[in-house]
Amino acid sequence: MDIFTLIIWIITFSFLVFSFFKDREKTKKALQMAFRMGRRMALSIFTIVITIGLLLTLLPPEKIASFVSGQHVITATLGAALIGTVTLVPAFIAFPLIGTFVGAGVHIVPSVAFLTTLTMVGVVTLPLERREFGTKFTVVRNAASFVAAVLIALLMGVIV
Amino acid sequence: MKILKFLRKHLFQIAILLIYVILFFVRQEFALESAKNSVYYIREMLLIMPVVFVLTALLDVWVPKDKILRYLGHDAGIRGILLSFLIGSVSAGPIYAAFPMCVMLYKKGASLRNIIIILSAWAVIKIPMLLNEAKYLGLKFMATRWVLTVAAILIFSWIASRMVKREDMPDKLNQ
Repeated sequence: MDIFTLIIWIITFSFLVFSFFKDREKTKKALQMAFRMGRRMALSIFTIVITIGLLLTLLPPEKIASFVSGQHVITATLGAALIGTVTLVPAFIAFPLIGTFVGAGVHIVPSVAFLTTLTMVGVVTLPLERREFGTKFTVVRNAASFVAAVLIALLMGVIV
Repeated sequence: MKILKFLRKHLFQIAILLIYVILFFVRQEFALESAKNSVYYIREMLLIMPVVFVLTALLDVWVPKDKILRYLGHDAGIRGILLSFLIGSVSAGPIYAAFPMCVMLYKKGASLRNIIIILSAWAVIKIPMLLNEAKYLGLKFMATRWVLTVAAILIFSWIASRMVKREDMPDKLNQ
């Protein structure tokens, strides 16, 4: 568990204790609410998680790296951005991976495009996001994030 | 009819499960490798989701609607935007962990723009992520990407909130 997750646990736990002494009824209501939320989302989140596991097997980070390094900058950028949207790699794997990309001379633009779509745009989370926020919100947010990811990457290429 | 409805509702889940079953018979090592890869994510999910649910529910019962409206609502202005960036940046866990929190905040009057800022910041500019990034890619890379990303989020959250109206959101969120 990283330090930030731990801090959130500590804050929440203190909040819970405080809440319990202040108003037992409200606390009970909150816990029931949390439980209902969890039950409602559990199946979707579990599906997201095993989908990521599947994608990581079919498209391991090393394969992505070799694809990105062998392409022209433009194709590599679009390709990396697209791969980033379907798959999801934890930050502690993604950053060293991209560090190696850049260190090995891979252009910075596809690397950044991959990094941004990886986390911000999610095909695997689409069904859940759609159920919670509706189709229009989900489509607009993900499309805007994708365009932003490519633009950020291109600007990074100019600046860094 | 009932079966059809169930199938439609869980299409994604059923499809993924089916892929696993087929893989297990066709390429067993793939199925096992996938399951093994999933374990890390299951752990990540179990570490963060329960606490997100409890925190969301506690904030829901303790923070009154007018407070959320004032600090994150349509008229919260620059202060609302800053607070949204802050919430997203100090969070933990992947983007789907932000969903229950954002649903609650939206129901209590947070603006669509601020919801999009929280979701995006939660995804890409978390502080633990930035530390890792600086370590592997250098401070200059990290700082440049951070500035560009914050600028991009500011712009596209504005555009998106012009395109999506409150009427476009599911009825259950607008009660």
